[in-house]
Amino acid sequence: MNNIDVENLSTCIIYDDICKVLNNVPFPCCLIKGKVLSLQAYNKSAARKSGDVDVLISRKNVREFENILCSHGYSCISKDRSDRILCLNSSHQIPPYRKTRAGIEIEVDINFDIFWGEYSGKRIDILAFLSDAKEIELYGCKVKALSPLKSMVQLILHHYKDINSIFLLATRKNIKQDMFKDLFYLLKNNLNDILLDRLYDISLEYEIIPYVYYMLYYTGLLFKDEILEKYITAFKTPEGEALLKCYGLNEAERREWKYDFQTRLESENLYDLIKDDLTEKDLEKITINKKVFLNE
Amino acid sequence: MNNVLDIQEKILEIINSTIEDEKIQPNQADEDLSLIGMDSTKFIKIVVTLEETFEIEVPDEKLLMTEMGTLNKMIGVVSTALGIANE
Repeated sequence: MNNIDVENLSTCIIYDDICKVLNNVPFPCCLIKGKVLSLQAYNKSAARKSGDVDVLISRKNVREFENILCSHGYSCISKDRSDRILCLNSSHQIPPYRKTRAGIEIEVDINFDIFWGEYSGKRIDILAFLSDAKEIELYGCKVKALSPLKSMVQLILHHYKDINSIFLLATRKNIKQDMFKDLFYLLKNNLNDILLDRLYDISLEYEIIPYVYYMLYYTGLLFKDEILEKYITAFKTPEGEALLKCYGLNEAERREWKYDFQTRLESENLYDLIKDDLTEKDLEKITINKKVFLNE
Repeated sequence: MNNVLDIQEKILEIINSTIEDEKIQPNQADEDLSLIGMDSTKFIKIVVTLEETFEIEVPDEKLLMTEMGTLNKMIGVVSTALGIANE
């Protein structure tokens, strides 16, 4: 059996297990990122590698979903009440749940928001966001996925957070260029769903135009494309332009980069690029997040 | 501890012992605690102490600084968890 077969078999086992969990869920719930995104952006579930499975549910269903996971043999990597409070107040997900089946470790990330914890603007009602989720087939299992338009919104906000979070900049070695690739192909592969007007209207409603511009702009630097260029032009605002040269996820922690985008993109140690800017508060936050999310 | 005044007094004590920068008084019940030094770390400490003191579990929907950002909001959450009317 070669590596591809082994990977495929592992993924089948993971999705078979997840499907059993999701079949018992009596509230709106769908899978995001990972293999679902792979299918939507590249038409192939195996195009993207992903280790964990991300579920999006409303905050008010988190406890019930955890109980369902536990009834299927999963357990949370953290038993610490303060970790849970930290996540529910300051993050978009709670500490992961894990289970081992047939020697394969299955990790489930429970997302209850598509914004980052530090976000202070208008929140998106997740139940409404999930309302038009559609059933798709993945590794022989039927699971719910967001529409391509909402996947685009979710992906933009997720990737914006990944590139701008001080904790992630301090703990990840580099910016994954695949993030821009995912965005580009999700758009190009779903132009009938992610129409410019529709993306603009939903971004206006959610008040996220500067973040959309940020992600499209940098995607456009890596993928030259006429259609993408039209989107970038439509989303351009002074607020969006101001974000381009900054990192940090809210006004209080936002600061200007000392390095240009190319340097950041090629860096093999992003921490080196920000370490001189970090305050005592930043360092404390990084330490707490490492404990909760990386188990360090 | 079975009335709102007792609850208020205890919560005030917990807040003031956690936020050391500035003490709040009962007449500042609607004061935004983040403006007087309650950051996310102190918020966690306050919630954990409230849960231990009152033997309650704050529901997930309330585990946000916007939901428990003032003395009055904390009294409301604790009173509800204890099944006491907060008038």
